[in-house]
Amino acid sequence: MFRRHLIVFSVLVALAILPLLLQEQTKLVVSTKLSSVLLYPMTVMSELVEFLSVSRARIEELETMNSRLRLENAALRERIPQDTTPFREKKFKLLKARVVGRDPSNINGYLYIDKGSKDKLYLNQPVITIDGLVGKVAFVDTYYSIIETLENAGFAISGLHLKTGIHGIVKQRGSLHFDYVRIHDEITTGDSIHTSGMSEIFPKGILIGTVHGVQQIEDLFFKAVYLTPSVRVNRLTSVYLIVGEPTVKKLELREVSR
Amino acid sequence: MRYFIYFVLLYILLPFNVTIDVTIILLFFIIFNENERFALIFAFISGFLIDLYNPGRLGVNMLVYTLLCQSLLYLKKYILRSLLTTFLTFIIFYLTKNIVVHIILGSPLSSAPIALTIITFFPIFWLLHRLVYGVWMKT
Repeated sequence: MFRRHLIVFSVLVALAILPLLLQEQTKLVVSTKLSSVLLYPMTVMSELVEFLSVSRARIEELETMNSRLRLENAALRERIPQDTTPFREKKFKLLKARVVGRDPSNINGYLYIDKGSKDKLYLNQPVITIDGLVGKVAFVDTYYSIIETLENAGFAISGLHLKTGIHGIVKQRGSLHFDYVRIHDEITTGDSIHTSGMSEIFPKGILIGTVHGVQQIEDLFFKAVYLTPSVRVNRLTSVYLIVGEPTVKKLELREVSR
Repeated sequence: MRYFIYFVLLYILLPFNVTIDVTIILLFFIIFNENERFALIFAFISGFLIDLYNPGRLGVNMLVYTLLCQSLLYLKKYILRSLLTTFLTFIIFYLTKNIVVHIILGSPLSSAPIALTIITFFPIFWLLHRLVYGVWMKT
């Protein structure tokens, strides 16, 4: 009896040690394939829990935001006739991906997602959520990809302060900084910083974060601006990838006159 | 039938493992109440499924769960069954598992899930007794 138990124990320990000896890439491929089958019920349940956790308060918040954006949109459309260039509305296609893992040594710096080159993902593809920018695709394999998030040290992106039109560089140096803001530039706590659209990677207008501190430093030209990222990377369970070229829709004048 | 219930419970409770480590409570319950070989296999499978959630660490939880399960199976003969000793044994078992996993992976320990798991240990433990054996606690 004891002997049989010892054999079972030895076999299980050997089976547990085996994956530890595998390379990181092999581990990910094996896990992704196995989890798609073995964790299927859990995935369904997690999605259900995620769906149910969209609370009434959140729905109301989104409805309020939607109404505000509609009003803002209507006001902007009224201005269109003053502009001679035709107004074109861009609609991006989004691909939802599940976060399947994190880099243990840099838990918020890199995220593993369950979409890969089979889903036509490519390097530097922008990654967002409903709250704003998450990062970009840093590595693509057949069944999984790795995302470099804006919480990874050294992550940099061109940013824009919409109120004043100030351009700068958002950089992760322990905390998120908005660099190259001049001493006399009017930027205050609570202001939003969006992507400027100047890089070839990120489209314009994605929320990066909000200003939580402005400090005069020992610099003749610039001041320090600190940002709070709009996305909480440590809470992410799924993300959206911006896929392909946006479909551009020309706005009809009838809508404007309405 | 009981074994089937355990696996169903494992599948149902695993998505909530991030907030409260229900799997470890379930495993602790099985180690104390079920066949030793089944407990060992269940520990291995639990570790395997947890590892599948975090592909980068495949094998770590499988090994830790199996070794800790075997250690507790060996020690349980010498543990007096009472509320206090059961609770203390669970705390030591759970903290050892957490510390070992975090030493291996080098990731930070978060106190909130640990505190929640310890607080909810008895209610879940009693519910499991009630569900499987029809009594609130076996002593």
